[in-house]
Amino acid sequence: MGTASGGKQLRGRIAITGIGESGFSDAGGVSADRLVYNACLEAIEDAGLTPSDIDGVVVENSMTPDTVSTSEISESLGFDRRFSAHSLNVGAGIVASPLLAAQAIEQGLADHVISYFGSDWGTEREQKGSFEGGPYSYHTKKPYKRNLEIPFGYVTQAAYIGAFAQRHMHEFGTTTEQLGEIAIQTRTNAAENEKALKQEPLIMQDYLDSPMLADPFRLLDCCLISDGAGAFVMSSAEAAQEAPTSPVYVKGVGTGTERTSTNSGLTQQHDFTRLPGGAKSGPKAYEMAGVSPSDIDFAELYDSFTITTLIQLEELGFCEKGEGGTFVEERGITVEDGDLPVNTHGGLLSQAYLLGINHVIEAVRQLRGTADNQVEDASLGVVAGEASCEHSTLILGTEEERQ
Amino acid sequence: MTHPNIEPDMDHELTAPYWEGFQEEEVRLPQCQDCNEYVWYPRPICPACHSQSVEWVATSGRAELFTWVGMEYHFRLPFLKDVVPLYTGLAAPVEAPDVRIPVLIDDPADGDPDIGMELLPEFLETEYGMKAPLYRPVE
Repeated sequence: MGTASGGKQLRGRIAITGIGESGFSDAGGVSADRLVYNACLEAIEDAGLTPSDIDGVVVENSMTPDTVSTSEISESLGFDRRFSAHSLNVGAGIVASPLLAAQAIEQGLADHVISYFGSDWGTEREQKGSFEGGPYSYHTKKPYKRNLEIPFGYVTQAAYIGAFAQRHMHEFGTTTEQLGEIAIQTRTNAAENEKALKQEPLIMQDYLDSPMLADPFRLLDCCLISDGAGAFVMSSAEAAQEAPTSPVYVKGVGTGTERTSTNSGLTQQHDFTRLPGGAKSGPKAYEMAGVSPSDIDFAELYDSFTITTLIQLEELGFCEKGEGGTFVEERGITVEDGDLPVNTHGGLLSQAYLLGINHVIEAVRQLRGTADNQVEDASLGVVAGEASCEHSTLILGTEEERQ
Repeated sequence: MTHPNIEPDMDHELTAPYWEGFQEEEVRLPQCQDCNEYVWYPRPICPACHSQSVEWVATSGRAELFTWVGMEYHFRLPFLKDVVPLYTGLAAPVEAPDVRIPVLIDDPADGDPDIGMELLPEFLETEYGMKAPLYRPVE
């Protein structure tokens, strides 16, 4: 078995130099192409570049090829894909994009790499009444799911991840109210964020009254379905000194996988109190960055559901295994008075469902000091992204690495 | 408790035998004939020993409930619209404790299903004309 360490030489070698966002809405009626195009243009301009300066692109592997592919965006924006790659799947892929970008930039395969994600799933759901594309049909078209799971009612992300919550409650006594606290405190963070789709504050009774969808998950345990797009540009640490924005360095990035697949990952995962790959990505990222959990000022954690925030708090070392619920209840995750601000923008639960690209963008804002819901003196943050058989952790910081 | 109205794709070679077993009222699982490991999800070779002698064998049907979810909303999915609320979950066959099969669980007499409860299948005719297992706790 190979050693998990390595990649230390990538610490701080690249920076995120530009960020862009477009059209967060419940159902804005604008195509994914146009949303991505606009987000990319904004990110490129933010980096002080023009589209033809871009020469690399890294995107997640599972939704993006069918929504807005790398070749489409390079054609639309007019740049050469000197380096072009697909990362891991969905949230894990977006968060791990800097790992591929850093290797390409370090080796001179590209100078300025763009990463993006966008969708019009909110509009699609409104127009068609149900999902033909997006997360749901992705599962119904897969023969393994069609034949082994769906005929028995085992279908929807809420069911897949609700099953994890059920085990966490069974093994550690995690309570409904603790899940509720995650929804409530994430919403508190969203309330400060101009762009969040859900801003009305929540109290526990609101959470408990929200409709039960897939017991133990209520509506407020589940992330939104929305339209929108995000993009970010990465360049070398040296090139970042020329950018108009203050550099946000990629300090560490790590990925973790299981010997399961996109088909089997969510049912055959051995320990349902852990996310697939979730225990493995954090240590690699911390090691590359040379930091530990106590150094982290804020965390943008993939919150497809309340339980995923909770489990990632444990897996990233912010509390003991099984204590995630207690952490949220007793120590808190709001910017205003939490011990560890989490999902400072409102996350996927309350800002918008953009597979976590909004988490990367929010982390960059926090580190530039330009976030709506600013964590005071933020200089080191972590972003985490999940998928059905893999997980990624990214550590970003403001301090340049001395070479 | 009614099965969701979504019939399996019997052209999928790797999983069609599961449903062939159901028509004979058996829960069959793929098992490597060389090392005896169960291969789940079904694959053409054994991940443990790489043998290609993987065959579907009958099990007792007895399985222990690992986790469950109470589906109360149809999520705008046509095949769920008429069958929710229902209980679904994952169960570990007693012969293959590392295997987790998705199961439709009958309404317990009171309250929710219990993790750890032992289940046995009864084979019911579905709307699409095939037999499929509905799991009930062993009395």
